[in-house]
Amino acid sequence: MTRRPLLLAALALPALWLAAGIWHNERALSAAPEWRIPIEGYDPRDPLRGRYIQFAYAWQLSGDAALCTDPAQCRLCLGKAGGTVVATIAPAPAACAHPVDLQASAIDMRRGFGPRAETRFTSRIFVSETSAPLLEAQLREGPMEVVAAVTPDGRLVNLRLQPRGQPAG
Amino acid sequence: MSLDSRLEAWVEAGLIDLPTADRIRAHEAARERPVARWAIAGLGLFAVVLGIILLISANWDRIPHGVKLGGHMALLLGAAAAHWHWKSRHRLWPAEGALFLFAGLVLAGIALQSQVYQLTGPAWHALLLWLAIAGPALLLSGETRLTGLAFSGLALLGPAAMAADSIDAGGWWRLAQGAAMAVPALLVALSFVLSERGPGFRLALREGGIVALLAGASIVHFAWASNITGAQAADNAVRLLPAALASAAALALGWQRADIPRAILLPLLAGPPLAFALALAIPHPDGMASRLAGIAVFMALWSALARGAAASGWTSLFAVSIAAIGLRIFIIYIELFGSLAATGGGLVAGGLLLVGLSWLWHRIVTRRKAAA
Repeated sequence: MTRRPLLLAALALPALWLAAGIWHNERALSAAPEWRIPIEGYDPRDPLRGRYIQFAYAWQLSGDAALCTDPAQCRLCLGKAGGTVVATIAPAPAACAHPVDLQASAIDMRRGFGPRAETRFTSRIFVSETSAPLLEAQLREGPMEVVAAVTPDGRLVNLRLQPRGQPAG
Repeated sequence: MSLDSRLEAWVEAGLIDLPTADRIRAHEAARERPVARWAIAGLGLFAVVLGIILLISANWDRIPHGVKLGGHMALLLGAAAAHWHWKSRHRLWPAEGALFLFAGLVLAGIALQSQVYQLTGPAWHALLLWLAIAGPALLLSGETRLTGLAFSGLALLGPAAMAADSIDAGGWWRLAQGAAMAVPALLVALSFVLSERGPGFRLALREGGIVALLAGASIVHFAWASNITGAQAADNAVRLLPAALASAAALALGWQRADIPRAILLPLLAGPPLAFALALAIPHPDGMASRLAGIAVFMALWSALARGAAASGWTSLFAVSIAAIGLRIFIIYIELFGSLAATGGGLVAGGLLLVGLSWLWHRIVTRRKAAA
């Protein structure tokens, strides 16, 4: 068998690349503060799509939503005011402590119509077949929150859904 | 027709005698494999594996991330080690199977990380990464059609998805799209260059490239039925550049080798870029004249291929070429005529052309048989 070192390198390449990915992501998540953000379903009420539960972040929003028409041009600065999570829209790059990059976090902005033209930021989380029905029912019936981590590169990673106010665990 | 009835027919026709027929029957009976038993066992095994996969999927979010990632990494390293082990011992098929599994596990690993860490982005990012990190092993060590097809699929899929997704982006993206268009010709060129490798692997690269080239050249002629502006034509000319260069390189490499006869090689590698250039890199309106020109280009390409295939004895390519021409003739009437009477006339004309074509086919095949 010729070219043995080359083949060895080619066979090792994916494992090394994937291991580097795990290391990079674990490092980013280990340094990421966890946030508990209230969430709710949104119209159309179709929370379950495929294996993903869709939801809208129910944070207190401030700033000009028009900045996020191009998602690359805005950041959401997460903060807390009296126990409430506040998301302040700021132009990118934002000089705040916890900026969230909409594109990297796969967060969509949905602008409403009419006098109460609410702007909502929606996201999704992967759930298994066995836990999906319970989470879907909980999202319809009671107040829920998502436990999410903000990585240093601005990704808001949804970790799990739980009833609002549930003790940490 | 079963073997027994065929043997009886041959004995009756005096082609073989009865003892020979019995010997053939005994030989075939000795070679018989318990296919039905294997099929049932295989089906059972498949059901067990599928069941395990579904059980894991149903409880996916209850399995800790570390277990999922660790389990995948163990499988990936296991497949790599298995390939290395069997390759060293010259066990062709086990080594190929392990390499194929390895390539599949790389994609699974990319998808798994995306899901665990909620990484987002267009699908082509993942597909190009798959090509970049699984492609080298396939290219270095693949020997058979199995891994050849896997590599062709990897090489065609990611770049094509990238080009389709970024089609509205201009600037340097046009060259990236052109690079994606160059992949089929590059696959053909690779099949020439990797001359010391297994014939199955090279054949799969060549077939993948040829199918993509001809499918692309056939699809591109739909552009004749749309309006191409000067600006669009200029953009398309830039896109064509890498594809034309790749085709020229493949042509130069193939010209010196006997892998593909020259009568086929020329229309195969020069035809598609030319069809692309005429349909997309020259401004034209959507009109009857453009559509007729499109039909003429299509016919010229496939006729040249049919001629080369007939001359070189490539019967499959000849049949595909004739079928493509026949299909295009049949479509003409839908494209050009509108009213009931005109459509009827078009069908009669198209039908007569098809009958003429099948007669021509029959004549060429008969003449070739006579020559042989």
